[in-house]
Amino acid sequence: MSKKISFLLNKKVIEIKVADQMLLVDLLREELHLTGTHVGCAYGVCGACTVLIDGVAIRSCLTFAPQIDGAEVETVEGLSGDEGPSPIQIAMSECRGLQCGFCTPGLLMSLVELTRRADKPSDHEIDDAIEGHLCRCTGYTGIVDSFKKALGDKL
Amino acid sequence: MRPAPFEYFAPRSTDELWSVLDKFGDEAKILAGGQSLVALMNLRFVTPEALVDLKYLPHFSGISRQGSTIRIGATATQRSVETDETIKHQLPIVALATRSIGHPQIRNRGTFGGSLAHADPSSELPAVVMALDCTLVLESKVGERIVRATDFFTGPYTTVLQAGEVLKEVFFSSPSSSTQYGFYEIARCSGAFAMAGAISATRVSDGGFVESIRIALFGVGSKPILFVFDKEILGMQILGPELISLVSQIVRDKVEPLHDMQVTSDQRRHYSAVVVSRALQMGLVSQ
Repeated sequence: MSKKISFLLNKKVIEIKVADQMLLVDLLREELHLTGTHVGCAYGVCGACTVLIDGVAIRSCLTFAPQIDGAEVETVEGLSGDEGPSPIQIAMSECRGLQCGFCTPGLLMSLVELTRRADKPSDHEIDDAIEGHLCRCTGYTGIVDSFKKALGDKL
Repeated sequence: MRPAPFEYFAPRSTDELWSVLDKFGDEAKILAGGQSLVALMNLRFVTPEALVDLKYLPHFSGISRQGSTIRIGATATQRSVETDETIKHQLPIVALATRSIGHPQIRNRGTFGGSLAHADPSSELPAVVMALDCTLVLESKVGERIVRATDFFTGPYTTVLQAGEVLKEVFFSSPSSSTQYGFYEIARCSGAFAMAGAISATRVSDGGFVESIRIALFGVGSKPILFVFDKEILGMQILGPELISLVSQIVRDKVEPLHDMQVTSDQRRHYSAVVVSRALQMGLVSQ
């Protein structure tokens, strides 16, 4: 079976027919060719597929495409604009917030959610936001440093 | 892996909900947050013919105070439970236990009722509703039935919910200032499945003596394990080291823990006593 859905993706209206069992992450990557969002484990553990739905960080591997009918979705592609990468992305590169980059798109979305939710996130809140993301390269210190560096600027 | 094909429904009315559930019977699965269910579907452990999303049915959602009780709708997200002002002040133990579920990104979507209906033996919320002696409302096309939390869970991933029946809401009786709560969980890391955990509710008299203790263990048996201690067992004691040692010793002797690849049965027996003792030491009260 399939469903016709419409939703806002990085501020653009998308109307598309999807199979009922299609995962949101597969819709983004396979149908809409936005391959910034990664699939790691496909059962909610690794965090690589994290995107924002209605401003809230969620796992796109644990959400079916029909569930986002009428919602607003933001992916890593929405972070950079005509003026280039966003401050958090630049800080990630400057502070060694990534090495292989597989976990980075998901992490960025959780960090963006945090900046919108908390004015001055505490160390505990930062740890809490990134705790659901597996990164095997950085040891996380570079990620926290990047986030703190970017905090002063608008993300 | 990816899920097997199914048909997705998002009913706009309860009439529509009951008719879909009627049509598919056992082959329909209710979708709330999907944070456990979709993972199992991706692994093809669960292959329903129909997935019925409750997102357009507001009477399953929300958190509110109703007289002397607090109501949590089944589809209230775990995040909304941990951040709700009423819950934070009246039932801080519920907010605390909810924060121990998975990761923030999971709790953003995972629901209170979904966790109960899923009945994972290692999950926190089934033990919470048992320790706090909650009442659960189950709804079907013929009406509602009320089930005590202590009667709801029947085994690993199984409850008294029948095909065509949906968990609608959970009621907590208003906490009294004479009850002290505690929570402690042992897991390999944040977000990992509990190897043992305990929720405790200790009623204390005006004179400071313990009247009763209810403890629910999770991650230990095939469903939450409830212990109820009354004055006959406890005697006239304050909530101090002696009483805590007595209670954790009884739990250690009586519990029959599961063995799995994470923990042996003996280790789990030891952890059970540890989590009980630390939960009892916490002494959290409502504000």
